[in-house]
Amino acid sequence: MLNSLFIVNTTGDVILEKHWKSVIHRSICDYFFDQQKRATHPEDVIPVISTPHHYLINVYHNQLYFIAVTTVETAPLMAIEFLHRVVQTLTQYFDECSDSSIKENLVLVFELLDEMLDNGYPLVTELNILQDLIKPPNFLRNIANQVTGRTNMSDTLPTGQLSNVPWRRQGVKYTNNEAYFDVIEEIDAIIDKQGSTVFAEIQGSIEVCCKLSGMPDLTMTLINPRLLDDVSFHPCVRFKRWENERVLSFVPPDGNFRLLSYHIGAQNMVAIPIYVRHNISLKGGQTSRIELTVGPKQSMGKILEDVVVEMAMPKTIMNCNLIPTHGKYSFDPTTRVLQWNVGKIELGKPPTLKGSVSVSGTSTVEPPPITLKFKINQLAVSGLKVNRLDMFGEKYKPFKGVKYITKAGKFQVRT
Amino acid sequence: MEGLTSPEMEIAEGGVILDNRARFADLKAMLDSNKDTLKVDAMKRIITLIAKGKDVSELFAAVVKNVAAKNVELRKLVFVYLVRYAEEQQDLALLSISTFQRALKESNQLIRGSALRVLTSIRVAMISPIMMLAIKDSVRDMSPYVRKVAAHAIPKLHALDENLEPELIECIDFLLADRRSLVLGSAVYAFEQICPNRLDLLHKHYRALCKALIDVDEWGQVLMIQLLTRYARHEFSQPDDQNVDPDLALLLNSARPLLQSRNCSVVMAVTQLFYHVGPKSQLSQVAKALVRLLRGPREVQYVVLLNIATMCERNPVEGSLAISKTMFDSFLKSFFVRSSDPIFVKELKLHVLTSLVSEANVHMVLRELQTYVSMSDLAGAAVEAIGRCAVRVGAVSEQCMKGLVQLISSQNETVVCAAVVVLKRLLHAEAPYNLLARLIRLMPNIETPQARACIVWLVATHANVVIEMAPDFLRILAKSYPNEDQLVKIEILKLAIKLWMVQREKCEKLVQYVLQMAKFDLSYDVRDRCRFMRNLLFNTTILSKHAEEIFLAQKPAPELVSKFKERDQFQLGTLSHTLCQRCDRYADLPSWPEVSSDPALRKDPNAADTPAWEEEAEEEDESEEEQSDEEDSGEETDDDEEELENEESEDENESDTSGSEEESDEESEEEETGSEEEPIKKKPQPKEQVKKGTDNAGASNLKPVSNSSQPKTSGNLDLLIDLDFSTVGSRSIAEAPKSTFSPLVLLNTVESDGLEVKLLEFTRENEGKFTPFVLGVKNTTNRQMQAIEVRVTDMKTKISGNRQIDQLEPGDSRKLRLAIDMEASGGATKKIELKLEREAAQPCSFSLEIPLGEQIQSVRFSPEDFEQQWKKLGGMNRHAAKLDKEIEAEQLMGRVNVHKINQKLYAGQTRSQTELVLIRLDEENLEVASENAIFARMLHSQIMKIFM
Repeated sequence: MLNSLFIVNTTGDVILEKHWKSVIHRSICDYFFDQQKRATHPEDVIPVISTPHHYLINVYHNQLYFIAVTTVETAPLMAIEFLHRVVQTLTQYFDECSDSSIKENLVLVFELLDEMLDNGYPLVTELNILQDLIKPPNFLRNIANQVTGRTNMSDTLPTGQLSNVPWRRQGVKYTNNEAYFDVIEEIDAIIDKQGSTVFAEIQGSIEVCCKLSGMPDLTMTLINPRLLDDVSFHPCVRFKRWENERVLSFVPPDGNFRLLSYHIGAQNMVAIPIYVRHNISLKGGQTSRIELTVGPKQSMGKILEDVVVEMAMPKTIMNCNLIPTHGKYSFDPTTRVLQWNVGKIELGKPPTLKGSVSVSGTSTVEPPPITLKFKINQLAVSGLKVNRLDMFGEKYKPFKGVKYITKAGKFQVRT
Repeated sequence: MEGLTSPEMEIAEGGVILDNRARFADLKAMLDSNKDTLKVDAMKRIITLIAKGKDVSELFAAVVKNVAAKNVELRKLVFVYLVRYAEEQQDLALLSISTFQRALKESNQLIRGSALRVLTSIRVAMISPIMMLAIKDSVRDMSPYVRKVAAHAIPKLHALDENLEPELIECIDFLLADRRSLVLGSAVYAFEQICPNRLDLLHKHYRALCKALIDVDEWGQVLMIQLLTRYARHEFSQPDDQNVDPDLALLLNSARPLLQSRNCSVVMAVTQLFYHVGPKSQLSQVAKALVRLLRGPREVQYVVLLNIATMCERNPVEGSLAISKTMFDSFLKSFFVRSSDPIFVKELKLHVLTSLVSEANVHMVLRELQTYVSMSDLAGAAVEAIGRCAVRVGAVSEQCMKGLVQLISSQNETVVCAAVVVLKRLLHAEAPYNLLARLIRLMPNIETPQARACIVWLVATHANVVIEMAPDFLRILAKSYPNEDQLVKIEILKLAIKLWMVQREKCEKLVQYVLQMAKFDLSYDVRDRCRFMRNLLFNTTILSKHAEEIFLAQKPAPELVSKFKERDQFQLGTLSHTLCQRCDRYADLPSWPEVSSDPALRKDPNAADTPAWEEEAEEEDESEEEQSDEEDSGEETDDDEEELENEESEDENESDTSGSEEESDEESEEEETGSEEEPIKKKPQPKEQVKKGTDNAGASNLKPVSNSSQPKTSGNLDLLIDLDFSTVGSRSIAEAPKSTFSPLVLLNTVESDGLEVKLLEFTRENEGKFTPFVLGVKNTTNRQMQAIEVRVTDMKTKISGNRQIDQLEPGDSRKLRLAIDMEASGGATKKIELKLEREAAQPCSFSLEIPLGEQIQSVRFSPEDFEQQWKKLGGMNRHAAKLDKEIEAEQLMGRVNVHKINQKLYAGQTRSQTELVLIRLDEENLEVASENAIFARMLHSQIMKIFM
C-alpha cells in the first residue's frame, strides 16, 4: 500500500517524512508543489496525482497536507481514509493537528506512524490500542516523567489487540463512572435568493464520552429509531441486533468516540430554523449597499446561539462601512471575508447589518453567497430522542447524560 | 536545502555552521553512556533528524549496540532506527539479528510478534533464510497475534527474495484456513501481494472467507472484498436477476451489511462488488451509502463522485442497464453545488447532474445550472452542462438554445466563450430556422467578437436554411466590416464565399466588395485568407470546378464523448480508475466464464462443525446438479429449481447471522484457546475426519451404492479419498462433459451361470485419483442369488466403493458404483482382473479395461495457457496424425473427458498422476500431447481406433 508519507505545510516545507519501505527522496513532493501552485485555494489541489513512477494521494487538514506515496495500484479511498485516521489520531493525542503541534511532538508522531502501518499496510488504527502502546502526552505526566525518569512509552504490553473487542482496552478503572451522549445534528442547506429551500438535509451523529470501568455492555433504545434509515456504525455496534430489534447494543471503546452517524436525506422535510433577508447591490463607481437581516424561523421555542454570517467578497471590494444593530462585524482586506458575529438572537427586533461598500472598477459584481453558522441547544431538529440506556456486565451504577445540539453544517444562502 | 548540505558541514537553524562530526560526536557520547535517560534523549534527537529527512546513518554502530536494551522506550526507538537504516548498513545490521532470534522464542506472544515484525522489516537479503524459518514457525504459532504478524511479514520477505515464492504461497495457503478473523484479513493481504492470480487456492476457503467477512478488521475487509470480487468473476457465470449462484449470493449477502461501515473504502469496495459481480437489480442498494459518503472530506467526495459519474455514464441512454442511472435519481439534490466546494468537486457534481438529467427533472436541473452561471469559477462548466442537457433531453433543447443565445450577450467573457463553443457544437449538424433567424436579429446587440464570429459561422454553415435572410445579413455585415474584429472578418469572408456559391445572382457585387475590403485589410491573416479564396475561386480552372465540393462539403458533427466513458474499462474504486490510466500492478477483472465452476470445489474440507442444515443445503445442491446433468448441462433451469435456489440463498443468509453473532464467536474462541495448548502440527488429523465422515456420509459428494445398505467402513474410505484430492492439483477442475460410453458386457450369463456383468457407464465425477465407473450386475435366472461379491484378484489393484450385493431377486439388476486408482493398480493400460463370487456357485473371473479417455478429467484452461503448455510439450510428448474424417467436438468429449477451451483446443489431466493432457483437433489433424509421453501415445491411438 503506502510507501512513504510526507507532511507538508502550505508554505511548502516538509515537516516530517516517514518511509515504510525503501526511502523515496523528498523531491517527489515537487510534483505536488506544482499542482499546489496551480490551485487558487489550498483546497483546490487535486487529491490524487500521478507522476511517472509514483502516485501521490494527499489529504488537506488545517493548513497541512498529508501526502502518501505509493508505487502500485492501491485503492485510493483506503489511503485517504487512512490519512484521515492519522489526522484524527494526532488530534486526539495533541488536541489539535497543526503545524506547531506536529513539530513539537515529532518523535511521538514518528512512533505513532510506525505503529499504525507495517510495511505500508495498516496494522493498528484503533485509538484505544495506540494509546496503550504509546501514552498521549499530558502536562501532569510530563512533570512526573521528569521527576521519576519514566517515559511515555508504556512498559506493559497492550493486550487489547488480542481480545475480540479490539477497540476497547482492558483493565479500565474510574472512580466516577459516567457516560455522556451528545446527539449532534448539522443542517446542510442551500437557500435560494427568494428565501425558499433548494435543498436541505440533516447529518447527525452520536458522539460519546465514555468513562466506565471494566467491560460494560450498553444497550441504547431510541424513541423513534425509524428515523435512521441511513446509518453507519462504529464497529462496536452489533449490527444484527440493530437489524432485527432496532436497538443499539455495544461494548464501548474507552474515551471519546463516534457511536454512529446518520443521514436524513433531502426527501424528508427539514425545518429550517433561521432566515436571512438580504439586499445587496455591488456596482463599481456608484455607492454600493449591503443590508442583511437574520431572524429565527420555526425555532421550536429554542434560542439561536453563536450566529455568524460570513461572505467571501470578490476581489474588487475595497472596504466596507457597515453598522450592526447586534454583535460585531469585521472585514479582512487581505482575504476579503466579511464576518458578522451576531451572537444570540433574542426575541424582539431581528438584528440587521447595514451600510455602504466601496467597489473598485466600473463593472457590476455578482454578490457572493452567504454562509451561516448557528447553534441551538437542547434540540435535535430531526426529532430523534434517546429513550433509555441500560448497562449489563458490570455491577456499579453509572451516571448517564444525553445532550442534543443542532448546528449549521454547510448552510448557504444564495444571493 | 539538499544542495547546501555537504557531508561534513551543515547550516543549522539560526545560521550557525555546525560540524557534523562534532555534533554526532556528542550524540555518540550520549549513546555510549550508561544512563538510559541520556540514551533515550540521544535517540529522540536522532529520530527527530530522521523525521526531518537528515542522514544519520553514520551513527549506526553506536545505535545498534543498544538493540537489546532493557528500557522499552529505548529499544523501540532503536528498532525504528534499525528498520530505517539497515538497508544501507547491511553488515552491521547482522549484529542485531541474534537478539530477534532469541525474542522469537519468548513465551510472551506480544514480544514474539514484535520481534518478528522488526526482524522481517530489516531489508537485508542475506538474512532471508532466517526470515523464512521464522515465518514458517510463526504461521503455526498458537497465538493469533503472532500469526497475523507472520502474514504481514510474508510480503516483506517476498520483496526481498522472490525465489521464495513457492514456500511463501504454502504459508499463505495455511493462513487462509485460519479460523480467527484477526488473522484472515492479513492473510488475504499477503495473498493479494504475492499471488493474486492463484484463485484456485481459494476454492476451499471461499465460504469461510465470506462468512468471516463481517468480523475481519476494516482494512482486511477492503482487500477481502476485492479479492472475492475477482474470484466471483473467475468462477461464476454472470448472474441474472432470477438466477444467482448460491455461492455468489452468499458473498453478496455477507458484504451487504458493510455498506453501513464507517470506513469509506469499505463502502466503496462493496459498491464495486455489486457493480461488477452482483445482478443488476441489486445494484441500486449501494446508492444511498455512496451518497452518504458525499458528506465526507473533500478527498473522499472527489473519488466517490468520480465513481458515481462512471456508474451513471455506463448507459446514459434508456436501455438494459438504465438502472445504474435511475438509482441516483432520488438523490439528485445531493449533487447540487455549494460555493464552498473545491473546484474539482464542483465540476464532478455538474457532470453527474447532467448525466442524471431526464424529462422529469430537467427543469429543476436547468434552474440550478442557471444559478451556477453566475458563479465566477463555475460559469464555463455550467454553460457546457446546459448544452449537455439540451442533447440529453430533446424536449428542452429549444429552451436551452434560447438560454444559450442570451448568454452569448453576457458581459462575462468566460460565459460567452463557453456559450459559443456549446452552441456551435449543438447546431453543427442542423439548425432550426427560427433559432437562426433569432440569432441574426440579435446580431446588432452582441459585441463580443467570439460570439459575433460564432453567429456568422452558424449562418454560413446553414446558409441553405436561411437562404432568404443571408444576403441581407451579409449586407449589414459588409457595412460594418472595417470595424469588425479579425475573427469576425474571416468568418464574414467565408460567409461571402458560400453565398457566392449558393446565391450568386443576388449578391455578386456584395461579395466583390467584401473581398476587396479584405484584400487591403491591416491584418495579414485576413489578407492571406482573402488571397487564398480569390485564387481558388477565380484564378484556377482546375480547382474552381471543385469549389462546391471544397466549400460546401458535409462535415461530421463533433460527437459528445464523455471523459468518463473511458474510465469504464477500469474496476471501480481503483487507483487506475481514479487517474484513468493503467497503474503498475493493476489487473483487469476476469471476464465471466460461460458456466459456473463446480460448487463441490468450494466445499470446506476443514469445516468439522458445519451445522446440519447446511449439509442439507449442499445435498440439495448436488441433487440439483445431477438433475441438470441429466437434462443436459447447457439447458436453462426451470422454475422449480429457481425456487430451490432461492430457498438456499435464504439459508445462507441465516448462516450469516449465526456466524457473525458475537456469542457464537466467543464460544468458538474458547474452544480454540483450549486446543491451542497443543501446537498445531500439520494438516487436520485424519482421525477427526473419519469421525466427521461417519457424520455426514450421506452428504458426501461420493455417491454410495444407491440401493443397498452402506457399510460404514467404505464410507470413511471414500471421505479420506475426497480429502486427499483437495490438496492435489492446482488446476481448477472443470465440469465434465457427459460420457457417451455405450455399455459393454464383461461377463455373459453363460460363463457365470446366470449372472451378467456389464460396464455401464463412466460418471466422470471428481474423485481425486480414482476413476469412477458403474458396473451393472443382473440376475438372469429365475432363482434368488445371495452374497454376490466382486473381488480383485491382484492385490495391487486399488478399488473403492461397495462391491457386495446381499441379495438379488430373479430378473433384478443392481448398479455398483466403483472407483479405481489406475496408477496404483499397475499403470494406465493395465487390464483389471476381477472375480465374481457368490454363494453356492463357482467364482468366475473377468477383466476390465478402463479406456484412457476416461482416466483423465477435464480442467479449465485459458487459450494462452494452453499455447504456453503446448510449446513445452513437444517431441516425445506429442503425437499427431491425419484424420480421414472429421471428429465432432461432442463426439470427442463423449469419449475423452476433456474441457473444451474452444473448437480446437481441449484440456484435461490424468486423474491418478495429474499429468496434463492437451488435445488439438481440427478438420484434418488430431494432436495429443501429455506430460506422460506413453499416455499421450496410447490415448492418441485409442482415439484413432474409436473414431477411424
